[in-house]
Amino acid sequence: MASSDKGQFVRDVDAKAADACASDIVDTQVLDAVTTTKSETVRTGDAQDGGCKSSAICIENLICGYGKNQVLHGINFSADAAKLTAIIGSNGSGKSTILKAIFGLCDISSGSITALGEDITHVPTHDILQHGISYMAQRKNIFQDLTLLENLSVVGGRKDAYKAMDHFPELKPFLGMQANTLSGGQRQLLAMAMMLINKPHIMLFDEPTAALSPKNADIIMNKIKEINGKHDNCIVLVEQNVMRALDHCDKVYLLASGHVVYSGDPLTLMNDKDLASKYLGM
Amino acid sequence: MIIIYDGLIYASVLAVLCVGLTLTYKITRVPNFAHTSFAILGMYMALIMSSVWNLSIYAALPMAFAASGALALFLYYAVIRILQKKKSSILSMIIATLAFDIFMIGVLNIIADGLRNSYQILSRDFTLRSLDIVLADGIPMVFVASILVLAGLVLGLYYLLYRTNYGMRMRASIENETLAQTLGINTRLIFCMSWFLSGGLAGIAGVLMTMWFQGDPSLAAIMLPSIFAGSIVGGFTSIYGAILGGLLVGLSEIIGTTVLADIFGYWIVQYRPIIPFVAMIVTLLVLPGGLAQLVTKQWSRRKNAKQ
Repeated sequence: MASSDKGQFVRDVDAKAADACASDIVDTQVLDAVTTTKSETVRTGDAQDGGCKSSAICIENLICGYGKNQVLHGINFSADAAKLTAIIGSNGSGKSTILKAIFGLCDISSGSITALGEDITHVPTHDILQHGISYMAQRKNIFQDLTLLENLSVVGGRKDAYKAMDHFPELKPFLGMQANTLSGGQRQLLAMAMMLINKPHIMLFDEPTAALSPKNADIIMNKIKEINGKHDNCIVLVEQNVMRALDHCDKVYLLASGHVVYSGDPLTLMNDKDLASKYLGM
Repeated sequence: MIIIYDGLIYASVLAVLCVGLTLTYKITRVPNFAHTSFAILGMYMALIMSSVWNLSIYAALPMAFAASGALALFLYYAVIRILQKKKSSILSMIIATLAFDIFMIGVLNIIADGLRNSYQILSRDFTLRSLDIVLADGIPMVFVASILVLAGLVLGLYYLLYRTNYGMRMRASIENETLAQTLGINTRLIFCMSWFLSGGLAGIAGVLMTMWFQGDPSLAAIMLPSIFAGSIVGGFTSIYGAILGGLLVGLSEIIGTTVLADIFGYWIVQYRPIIPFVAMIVTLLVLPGGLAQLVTKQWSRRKNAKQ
């Protein structure tokens, strides 16, 4: 689907859904819907997710959580190279947990995770980067006590740190400063610069625009799109702002209560009145 | 002159011990009550190498570093790490280090008795002062060595933490372990190395200690309040604060006891442990962030004034 068509659609529905989407989309409708998701079948807007091993990331029947608290209940997920895949859903639906599972940051009970054809289900967190995957956490994604240069050098070396400034010239004047002196938007840019240093094939973003002003959020989203366009990376984006996610993504996953309730084309999701009213507040 | 030797040797040794305790606290957030047992092991390594194997007492420094470092690594890997994996509380981990300390005091007593029975050497309340080299003007080598070790530690740690990639990774891992892991840093390896370094430094401190003062397994309990006081006075999260805190508490203990003994009589010496306790209480009440907080405040004020 052409990006401009999606943009037009978004503008059409924007008036109705702006309030719900500007903040969390959790409302009573969603909470009611969440309680019924287990009996629902997953709707797909394109090809089924079965046998996704050829995708950049393929997750099959994943059950995981934190200690005894199970968050994902057997989900299937795939994301392709050169595409931006968004994961949306209400708070607590398990969006971030998918990314954490890929990076070994939660307890996996069963299922498998494959990245670029290699099984990474039980690979230790510090080794995941070597499989060409990088991850930007929602919060605490930079080292505040270190300078910008040190933050970048931790990942690569000094040479790579200076080279990263080619993509992020806006950070160059602050290289010698401590990272805790940066603004919210600058911090997110630094975190993105740190992600890019190792030239990953797969980039996972966990709500990169959270708590940012609309202007800064647009800067970050445009940067993500720019990376996606330039380097053909597989990008997985967890986003709380549904409209922003649907406007930019090529494929979307809608999660509710640890289950995938929709996967596929974003426009099809928006046209599905049932799902849109239940989960998107439209 | 003897008071200068006593004060500076003791203060330097205490500062080295405080650095180790602070380093492990920064990493695991667990105050390690077994830290002095690493130093006592270093003392017995010195005794074994000099009295049993007839080697130079200074040859014991690298051996004590390795042995005490290995012991600290064992405590981290076999006890602390397992408790962390089980998501045990900090209190459980503190109790575990206390239990390890009690266990080690037992082991060190067995070593002391074994040395006395097998080699007929004085293995309790012993000192290796007579084996030390005496420099010109009667200056004992340990006096120079303890100051050099401390100076080397200050410079070495600065170079390691702020001038090497490994040091940057170490600081990053201490600040945010999860983020460091997602960026490809093997934090487990870094923490193991830090515990090894902490134990190794305590081993060296133990060797230096017994070259001037008396060594005994009971010192593990006696020295613990002083090391905690030095670390707390320093701020407990700052390596350089720990050095300042250790020096301050060490000098206060020696000079304070000497001055008080002159005024009130020798009986007051047995109350020497009151000095570190007072230092600890005053710091917690007046300046909870310790000397590190004071230095940071002054630095921020100067920076703001410049702006």
